[in-house]
Amino acid sequence: MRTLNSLLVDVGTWDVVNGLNLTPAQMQALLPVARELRSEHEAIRVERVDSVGDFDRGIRKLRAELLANNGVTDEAKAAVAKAESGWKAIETRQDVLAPDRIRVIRETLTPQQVEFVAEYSPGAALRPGAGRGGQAGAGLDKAEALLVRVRLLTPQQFERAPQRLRQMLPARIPPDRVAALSGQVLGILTEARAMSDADFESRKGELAQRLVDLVPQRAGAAVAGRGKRGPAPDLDAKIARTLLTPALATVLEAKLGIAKPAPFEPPAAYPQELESLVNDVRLLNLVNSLYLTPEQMKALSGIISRAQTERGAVRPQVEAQLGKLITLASDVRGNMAAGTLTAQTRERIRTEGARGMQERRAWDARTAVYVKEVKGVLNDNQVCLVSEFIPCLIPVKNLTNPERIGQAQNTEGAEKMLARAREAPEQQVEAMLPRAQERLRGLLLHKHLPTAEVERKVAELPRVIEEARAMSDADFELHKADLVKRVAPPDVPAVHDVQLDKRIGEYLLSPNLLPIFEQRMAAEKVASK
Amino acid sequence: MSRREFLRIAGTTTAACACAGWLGGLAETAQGAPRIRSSWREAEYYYRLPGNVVQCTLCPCSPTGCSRVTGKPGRLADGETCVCHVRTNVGGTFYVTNYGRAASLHLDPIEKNPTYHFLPGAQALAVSAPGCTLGCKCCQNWEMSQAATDDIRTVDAPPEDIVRRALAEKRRAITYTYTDAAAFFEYARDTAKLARSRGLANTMVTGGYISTEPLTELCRYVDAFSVSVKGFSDDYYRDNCRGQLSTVLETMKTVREQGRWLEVVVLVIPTMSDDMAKIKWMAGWVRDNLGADTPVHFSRFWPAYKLKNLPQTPISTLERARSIARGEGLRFVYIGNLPGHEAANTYCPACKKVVLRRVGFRVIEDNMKGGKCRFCGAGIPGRWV
Repeated sequence: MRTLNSLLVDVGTWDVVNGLNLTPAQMQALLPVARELRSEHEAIRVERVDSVGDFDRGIRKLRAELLANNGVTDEAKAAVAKAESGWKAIETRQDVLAPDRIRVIRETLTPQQVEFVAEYSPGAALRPGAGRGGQAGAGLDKAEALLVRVRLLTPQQFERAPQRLRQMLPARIPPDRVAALSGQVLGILTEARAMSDADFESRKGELAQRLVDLVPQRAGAAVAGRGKRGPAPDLDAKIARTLLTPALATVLEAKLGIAKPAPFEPPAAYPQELESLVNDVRLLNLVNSLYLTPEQMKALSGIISRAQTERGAVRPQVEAQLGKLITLASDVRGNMAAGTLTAQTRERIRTEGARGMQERRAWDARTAVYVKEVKGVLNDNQVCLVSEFIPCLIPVKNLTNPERIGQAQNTEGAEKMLARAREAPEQQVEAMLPRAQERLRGLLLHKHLPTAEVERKVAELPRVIEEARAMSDADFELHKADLVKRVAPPDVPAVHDVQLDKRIGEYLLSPNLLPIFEQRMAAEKVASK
Repeated sequence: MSRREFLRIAGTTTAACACAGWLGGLAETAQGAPRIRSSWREAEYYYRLPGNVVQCTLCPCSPTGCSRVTGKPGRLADGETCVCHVRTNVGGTFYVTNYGRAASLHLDPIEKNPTYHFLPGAQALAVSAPGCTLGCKCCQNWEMSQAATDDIRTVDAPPEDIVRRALAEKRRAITYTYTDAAAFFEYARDTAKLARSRGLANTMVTGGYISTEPLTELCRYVDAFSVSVKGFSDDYYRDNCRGQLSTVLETMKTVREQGRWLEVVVLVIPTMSDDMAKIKWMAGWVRDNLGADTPVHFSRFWPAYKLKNLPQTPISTLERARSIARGEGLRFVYIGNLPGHEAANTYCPACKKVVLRRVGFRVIEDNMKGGKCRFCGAGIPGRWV
């Protein structure tokens, strides 16, 4: 799956560069950035290969400690962090350099080309129909998906819909039109919510069409709660996704005639066994936070086994389909390098795409049954924890629970930094500020915040330090956490219901859980004796 | 600089520092007593004895004796500081050094105390001061509790300042926590008195190591107590907490007699306080002396301070303890420090449905209506409004 995803990113870069019709001068201007990016990705690959041994030892230790569920030692944490430090440092550097690189791209492209990137829909060229003409169909699909999501919202969540909708409508729409549009969209959404399942199935196409005719999709998505994930992606993020890829150098060199299109290289990945251990560690972090009873583990094991049997039955088809898709994507890449998509490839995309979608829907429907069963086994507290779970190797704080009963809050690194800034002479603070801002920028970019948000927080840092310095000791003691919040990355919000189901499907139906549960239940038996 | 030069300079500097410390010690000895600070207050619970000796009566004090001179519990010679680190005898006057000196100020949910049957979901301003009447090896906040006022960073926060801040932050209560409020009795009492006059509630987290008279005085202003039981015998308390169990039990009875809301926290430490027979005894004692409606929290131990060699409490141990306590007739038994565990919820004893659902310190579902279960109307003991 990872190979396919990477291949699609590669294809996307070919597609967008083809669509941009860059002049040789523009390509020459972009080439240094593209080559830097490629060499960084190569360095990440080398670092990953070099650190496999250390990472393997660290992750095995971490897994053993998490399995024993007796706290994670600093030694295990440090071993994993050390093994990851090399390639993570390169990634952080990439994050820090990204704004400059995006600036180079924006300055090189004409306004029309920038607009093309802004409007570009990944994979649009791969959809059925001539060229980019397939987008309308995609819009209908999205509108249908939106209606399905809106039907799943709780009344309280749906109450917030008008406000979210108004916020997301483009600013160019006059206020009276906004009110009218919101009213019409909400009318359709309310109608969809009121329908029975059977009615909705038969009429969802018509409702989706009405929706598409009315409103930009981004505004519709806001109603369904997707806006919750964070601010809408901006143009910089779009440029980063489509053009700041390791494939850009290959594409530009091929187009400039400097080198023949290089064959696709799969992304750097750890060996299969190691990936499985990483997956185990993530699962253990979740399972350890859920406090499953032996009865729950037994029930979950039953559900996972049944799902696994079903998966096993369809695995050959899934693997065959995946193989076909990889071959197809490789062909598409070849076509892209040649500058056009052949009619034959387009036809294969259509048939394979439709078959893939059909199989996916059938599988999703089956998974939904198991997810429902899993939800039935978990109590509401546990469901709440699953919804807030962040996949991680080193357990995040809310899972290790540092704020224990009756214990004073742990003073975070950022709070300590502010405390130091309060005591330092003004000149020293001024001298250290640019470095602190640079570090903050790196941290925020690493958390994938939109560039505008990153810059807003970075600009806020001097004000936060100034306020901290002006506060009395007692005021600072009370408000230091609030000050830190103003510049720190936002907490990850709880996921939407639909995502929760997806998350349960991904984690709590994982076959890797079976041996973990088995070991846990055996340990419980011994303890009870 | 060569290695030889470096060692020579380092040696000279160390010797100079040592001499300075020795001379400093001489200066203090010459003065005969610690210097009185303007922030110190005269302690309220003590009496004078001949020869500038004082007898502290705030707590029964360490049964092993807290004075190197007199060798008697709470009886301090001139210049001596009590084992609580914050009470000092200067010339026959007993001073408390932590008055108005907050070791921490936080905005905390009231569930963190834990008090689960008192203003659920309310936010409190949490305040602590250095020192403690006990010296538990398992202390999670030992940096503050086992320190003198001058040894750690404190902020100047007199009672009126605390109350003003709590009101400005729109808090419903002030909690005296992290270290034992008994050690900052005067500070806590004055703050609680002022807070009550301004319509704020007061809650106190304590190890319960305090004499009856000051406790009774505190009960006039403090609305709810969360008393932590660390073990189940006087021997255990003497060896691991520098105290005695009987005082803690007496404290809980006094709080109940004074009509204040009480929740009991039992810290379950592997190999030290996880004996199920003793837990059964403790549950029976709570039922007989405090009532079956008294909430009891079995709290998970986290390796800290002098007990870093021990593991966290296994979840199954906590679940067994809960089951035993419920078997003894206690109606509200919780498990603490396990966010997401269903034993953090409050269940209606009549219909068994969840009336308050908690994850960590958050109340995520409230099915209470006027102190009653919304499903069956049964009354749930507590202070809900």
